[in-house]
Amino acid sequence: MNDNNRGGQVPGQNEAVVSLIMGIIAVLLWFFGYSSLISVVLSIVGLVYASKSKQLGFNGPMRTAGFVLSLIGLAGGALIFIACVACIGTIGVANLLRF
Amino acid sequence: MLPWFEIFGLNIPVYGALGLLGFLLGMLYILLRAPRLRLSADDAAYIYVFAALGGLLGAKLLYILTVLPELAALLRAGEGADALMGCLSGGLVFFGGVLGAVPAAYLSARAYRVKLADYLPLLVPCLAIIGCLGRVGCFCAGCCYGVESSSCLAVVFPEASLGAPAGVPLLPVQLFEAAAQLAIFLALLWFTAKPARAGFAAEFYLLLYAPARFVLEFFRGDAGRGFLGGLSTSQWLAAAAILSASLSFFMRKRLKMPD
Repeated sequence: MNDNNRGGQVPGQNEAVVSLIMGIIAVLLWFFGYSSLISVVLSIVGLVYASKSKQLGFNGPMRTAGFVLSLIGLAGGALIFIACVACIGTIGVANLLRF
Repeated sequence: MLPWFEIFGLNIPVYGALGLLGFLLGMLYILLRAPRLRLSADDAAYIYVFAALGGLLGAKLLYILTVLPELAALLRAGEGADALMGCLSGGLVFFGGVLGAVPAAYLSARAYRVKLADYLPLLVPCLAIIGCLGRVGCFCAGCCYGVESSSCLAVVFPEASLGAPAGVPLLPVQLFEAAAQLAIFLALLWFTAKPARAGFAAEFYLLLYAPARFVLEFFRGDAGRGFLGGLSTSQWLAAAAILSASLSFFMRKRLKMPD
């Protein structure tokens, strides 16, 4: 059996799976208030793993799904975190808001 | 004007939602435009996402730098929680975003073994899209407001606005900048259509945006933006951007790059 293809796995496939799992958990964590901050962290980990998978040359739909879910998890998690938690702080420090 | 809107009982900040919409429109632009420029949409999407993350980090870090005295005062007053919330949700500085996005995009491109310069015609217009919607978000939140004015263009912010004084007619300088970014985006679409010019997309963007920002800063009424020698942080950064973009343009033109 080829060492690079043990158990029918191709390089980067494991990273794609990790990315997909991180993306799914990140989206699930939206629904538990403060956990949306963990959702942001897991999404970034998911994006990094999708990137690693891409670097290793894996081009399957699982990598794309992991990337997209992590991206959705990050966007939603960040918005919900700000909505749930930080708005209270924003009112207190409104004069610091600028872009 | 409209700092929050409610979905499923959650108060979603319009500023963040419009920033996110800008990011998603940028992604859509990349996916649609990449085949026309004969670039890999997959590589471009990954570089764009990591550039956006780097940009967010840079924008936040520069924001924290500009409000360091206020944050220190909050900490001295024993209001550490307010200071932390100010850091997390207070704001972003656009030029910090550009400074953060460039190294992140460079590192991503290197990791995927592609030349970042090839992808700039695709990535730079996204900056204008995000900047445009971000400024509309500023207007909705009531931050980054203009000077007091009796002009027919002046707007009066309500009590609920974050930052802008209520009941005072102010120049909607946020919308002026949003219009400028939209015009720059359209100009970039035209500019990057020809391969011979596309390599200069970053210089073209900076040479249009930085002077516009430099001038618009004079019409801003929010005082605590960080000043040095009579000019704001963004004006100094705009001046540096004009200088570096001009130098890069003339040096590359002299070396006849790109063809």
